[in-house]
Amino acid sequence: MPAMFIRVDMTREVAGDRELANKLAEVCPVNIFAQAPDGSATIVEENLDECVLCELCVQAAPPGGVRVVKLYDGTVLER
Amino acid sequence: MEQANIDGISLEYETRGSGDPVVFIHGAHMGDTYRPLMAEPALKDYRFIGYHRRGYAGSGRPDGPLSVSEHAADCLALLRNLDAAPGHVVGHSSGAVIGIQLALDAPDAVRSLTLLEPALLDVPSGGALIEALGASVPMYESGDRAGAVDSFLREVCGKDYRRSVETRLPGAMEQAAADADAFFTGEFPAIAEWLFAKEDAARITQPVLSVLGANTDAAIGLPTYSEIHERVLEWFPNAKPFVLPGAAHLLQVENPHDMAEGLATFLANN
Repeated sequence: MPAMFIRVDMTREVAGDRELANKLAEVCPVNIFAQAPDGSATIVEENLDECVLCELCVQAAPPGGVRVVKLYDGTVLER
Repeated sequence: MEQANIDGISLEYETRGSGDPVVFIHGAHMGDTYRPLMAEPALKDYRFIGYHRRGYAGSGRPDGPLSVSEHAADCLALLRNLDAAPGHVVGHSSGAVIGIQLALDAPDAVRSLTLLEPALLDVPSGGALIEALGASVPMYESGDRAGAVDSFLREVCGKDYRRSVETRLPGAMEQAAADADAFFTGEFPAIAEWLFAKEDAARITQPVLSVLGANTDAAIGLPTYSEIHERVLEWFPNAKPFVLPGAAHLLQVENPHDMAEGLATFLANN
């Protein structure tokens, strides 16, 4: 089922950084991030609406690297 | 507010807007918690119905304790009286339990079900919350109605709950003390006695939105409502999650804007 409330964007640089991908998978309390077999970061679509807006992923990534978009009102969480 | 008199039962209600009907079933102690949501522009294209359950404010006083099924029957009668069935049903806390019962008893009357932290307390940490809530009962029995209500709400909503109540629901605490009998002699035991199993949830095939306050666990110091949220998502066949930022258990009172936006998104898809 596609996400109704939350979208997460990450840059190619973030997605391709294995160390950061591991960190994102670790910090997200609801498992929105996972590591692909090649080590890159992927988004687990079915978990997106579980997002608790803790911003741990936003803080873990470099500025602009990860953005959390509240689809229901257009607000963006980023740094 | 207007009065609906249905088969000897008097329920006061108010409506706003026009469009597909949405009925809000309030939770314990405060009957006006729908009002901040009703006022939000995001829901202007719906016919929003708020009402006071029996025992609250200007609705009729029941002769004795009401069961969850009786409360659900009241809501159904109101929906039919207002020609609003099937409607989208939104329930908060114990009101969400009533909404679930309504969906079981009259599935044709429920188009979708939005559960704002339902009081499904049969989860691992539910016993600890019930124990904490139980401290309010001797206060009520000793005649300290306002103290009992405050004790209960502090435990279930967090110690800072009054801030949003006093801002958005002026007079609600005084009314809650006046309505304390409805809760302590009827609703509290009825919710405790209510039985609901995974097999019951499987019968509810309507779209369900499970709403969790992002701050609830921290506010009450227990993971009870997170556990309930996960249970709803696991048990109900067509459930979606929504995490409301900036809010604890008084979800729609603490952050009515995001709650209305999220609810409108869900309703538009269902």
